[in-house]
Amino acid sequence: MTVYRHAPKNPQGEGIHVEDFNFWYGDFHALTGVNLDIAPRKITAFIGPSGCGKSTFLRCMNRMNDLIEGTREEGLMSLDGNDIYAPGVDPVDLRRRVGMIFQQPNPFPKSIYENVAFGPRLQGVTSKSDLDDIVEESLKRANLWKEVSGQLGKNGLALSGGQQQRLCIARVLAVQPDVLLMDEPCSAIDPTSVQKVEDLMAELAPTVTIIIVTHSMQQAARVSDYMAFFLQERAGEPATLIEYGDTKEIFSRPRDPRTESYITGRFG
Amino acid sequence: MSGSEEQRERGREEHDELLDGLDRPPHISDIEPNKDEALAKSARELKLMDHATYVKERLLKDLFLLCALIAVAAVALIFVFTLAKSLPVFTDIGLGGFFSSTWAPSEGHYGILALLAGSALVTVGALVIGVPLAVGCAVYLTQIATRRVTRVVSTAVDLLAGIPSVIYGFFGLVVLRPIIANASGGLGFGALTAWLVLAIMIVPTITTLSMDALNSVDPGVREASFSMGATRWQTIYKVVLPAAKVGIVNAIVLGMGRAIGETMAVLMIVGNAPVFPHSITSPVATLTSQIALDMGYSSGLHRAALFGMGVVLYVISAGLVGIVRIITSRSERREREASRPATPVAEKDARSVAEGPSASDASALLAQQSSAQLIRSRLDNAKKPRVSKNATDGLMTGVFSAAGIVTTAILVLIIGFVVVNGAPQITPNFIFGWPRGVNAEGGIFPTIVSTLYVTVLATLFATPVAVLAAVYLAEYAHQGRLVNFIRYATDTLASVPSIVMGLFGYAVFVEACGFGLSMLSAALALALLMLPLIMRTTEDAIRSVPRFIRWGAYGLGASKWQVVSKIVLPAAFPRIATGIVLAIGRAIGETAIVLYTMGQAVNLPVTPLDSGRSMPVHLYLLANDGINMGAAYGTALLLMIMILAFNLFARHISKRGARQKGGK
Repeated sequence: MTVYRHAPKNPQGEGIHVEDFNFWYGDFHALTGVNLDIAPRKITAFIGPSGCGKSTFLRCMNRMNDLIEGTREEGLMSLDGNDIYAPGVDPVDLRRRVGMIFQQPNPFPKSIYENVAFGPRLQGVTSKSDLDDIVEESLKRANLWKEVSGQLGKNGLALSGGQQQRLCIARVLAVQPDVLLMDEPCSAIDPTSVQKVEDLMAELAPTVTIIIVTHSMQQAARVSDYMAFFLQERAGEPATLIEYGDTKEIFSRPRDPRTESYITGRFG
Repeated sequence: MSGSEEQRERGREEHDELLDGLDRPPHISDIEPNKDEALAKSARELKLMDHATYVKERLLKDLFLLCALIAVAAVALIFVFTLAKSLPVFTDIGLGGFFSSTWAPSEGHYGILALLAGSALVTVGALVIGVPLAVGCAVYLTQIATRRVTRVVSTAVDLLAGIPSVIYGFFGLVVLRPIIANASGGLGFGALTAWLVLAIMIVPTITTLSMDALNSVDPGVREASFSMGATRWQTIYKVVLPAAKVGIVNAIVLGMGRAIGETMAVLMIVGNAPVFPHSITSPVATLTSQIALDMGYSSGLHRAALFGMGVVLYVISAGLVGIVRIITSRSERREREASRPATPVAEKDARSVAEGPSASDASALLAQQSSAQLIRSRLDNAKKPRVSKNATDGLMTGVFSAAGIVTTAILVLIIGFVVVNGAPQITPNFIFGWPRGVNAEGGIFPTIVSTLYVTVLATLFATPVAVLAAVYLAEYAHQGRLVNFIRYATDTLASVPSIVMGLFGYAVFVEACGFGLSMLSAALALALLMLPLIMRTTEDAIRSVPRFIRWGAYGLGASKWQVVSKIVLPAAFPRIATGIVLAIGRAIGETAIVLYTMGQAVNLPVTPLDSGRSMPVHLYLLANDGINMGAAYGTALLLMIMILAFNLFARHISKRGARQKGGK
């Protein structure tokens, strides 16, 4: 059973609500019985050893797993009260509302401007001045504007790894998502850049719900308001959510012995 | 006492302390005091490389270089020889006469413009039909299809690539020609028939290379596009295709080379009238078909003109390969410059006021909120698309899927056509019997033997040279001008139309070397066909062996040759074997090369200097004569079975290799 403590309450049904969620890759049962509520406009961290299903669960939240053949899910996952797996729901539109940042910064091999304008263009924004505004404001929100303002025509790949990651964040912000999923966003960039991305997350949190998967417990402690610990206890068995609640409390007094052994470093 | 001896001493004392209390075992120095000294000495002095090893490594390297240079020499020789044989074109016919419009050798007119026009017409039409089909199929297989469908259809595409051109020509002649004749009222020989057949033939080339290009697009970029709410079509159209553009353009250029150089299929269906094409259903001729047609009986100026056409074909294909290389290297340079610009974008710590002074400050929140509001209002200005995104997506997915289905259907159709008509012919007597009458009755045993004979011989010639040359290019060579040049030469050799190699083989092996029409002449000419194919796959296979595996072996003190022979080649073996087997498949089905190097008389070859008639040539002659179509179908089926067996075997090897690498 999952240990819950001060699970965030959503009286207005806002945020993400998950009930008895199961997930399969083909025959492999990857996740079982996940129940949780993600607090809107807060930072929630998913932690756990490799292969514990935290990234899989994250990718379920904007249905990126639909792109993988043979995947299947059961249970309820809703965004602001709407079941995202209900028949007829357009995953394309869902992904616009639930943006994603990946481990490896992945700017398109196009100019910085075109990278940020990509999403708005998809949505049908054609006016040059509208696009200019969106690009500028998105880059400002991602704390990148000052570094690139005079060189928007440069290729996105010309940026450093940390800058590329902030460009990817700006690119997502340009379509005004409600939720930002971050799949180990700092594991492929240098430590100075990590600091910048973490600062940026703190700045964005009051306006966007952020969910971050991280391998680094220090990072989870530094940035997150809530924390969820996932674990696959035995190879071949499905992983599940073990403990969920306020980050500080979990770190100071873990209630489940498995959580305790993980945060004191006994698991991978 | 030197430093290292001190360390050894200390280490031994610690070791002894550990053993304290135990029954102390006799120490090595207690027994052999001198040995310890010898060890210490060897630790101080570095051994010099002994001369024999040095000479061996050096000789091996030179041998590999020699093999690589053979490829270059072949390219140069083909060009020089063909050019030399065409000299009368410049001296007697004159360039003006050569590039004029009348081709009438019996009246002394050797103008090739009509033939050039025929080649151009046939090629352009084939591209117009084939390119959308091939690229669509590649997009379908890499972006849309499920893994199982991809496996089936890409096998189909590979098999299409393996089917010899004489079978395509046969199919065009017996199936497509009557249909077109009925529709147009003519005989059905002409550009239209050639378009359809050539379009099918270039699909595998373009599809396979486009798939490589599409698969090498960073999957992260694709995911990023999806995660921002792009539909599949938007992702393909706006992200994946632009990223794979260069590779796809190259694929099309190489497909074009294939179409221009194709001989047998065209020869069988264009009608062979060397006049300017006046309609797409009237008979025309191309450069390649005219060479194949006239080669057997030409002499004097007529012969020189044919070699001159060979030079033209050679220049065209070398030019196309050059274009591909220029496009590729330019795009690589551009990518490098984009990712490592002269003035990198500086990272700055200070934030602007608009960006907020710090994460915790309330003004940062305010700035974020106002930016968010502005973005939202601008997004609200978006126009609704005229057609819904999902409808477009569905439509385009359907179009691409159709391309995949059509390609598979064509394969099934061709194979089905040959199998259904050929199967009743296959009897023991057909396989092991001797031809009777005008060679159209009875069995085809001598042609089977001739085909296998020449293929084995060609493989023996080509494989060692090709593999060793590839080892040189991938492992030994400085990656500079010379290597670039050798690669350009092999790429050119790979794209030289086979009829030009047939011309060259005839002039050099049959005539100049005096081997006559024989297994040996044909095998040498076929080896030229196989050489670049095997070299390319071997080099790719060697390069795909991870560097760290090599470092591991070097770190253990292996010499270069030991690393290559014990680590790299075994690791690359499955892919090398696949390349060899595929090249063998190509050689078995090759017609244009053997037509005038091996001869056309039915004969059971014993010595390499015996002549014979290979199966593809037999099929070509049977189909053209039209006396006994049953025998033609039977020959086609046997030929196809042999080649498909080789192709499936190659897939099996490469799959097994991949499984072993996976370690499970």
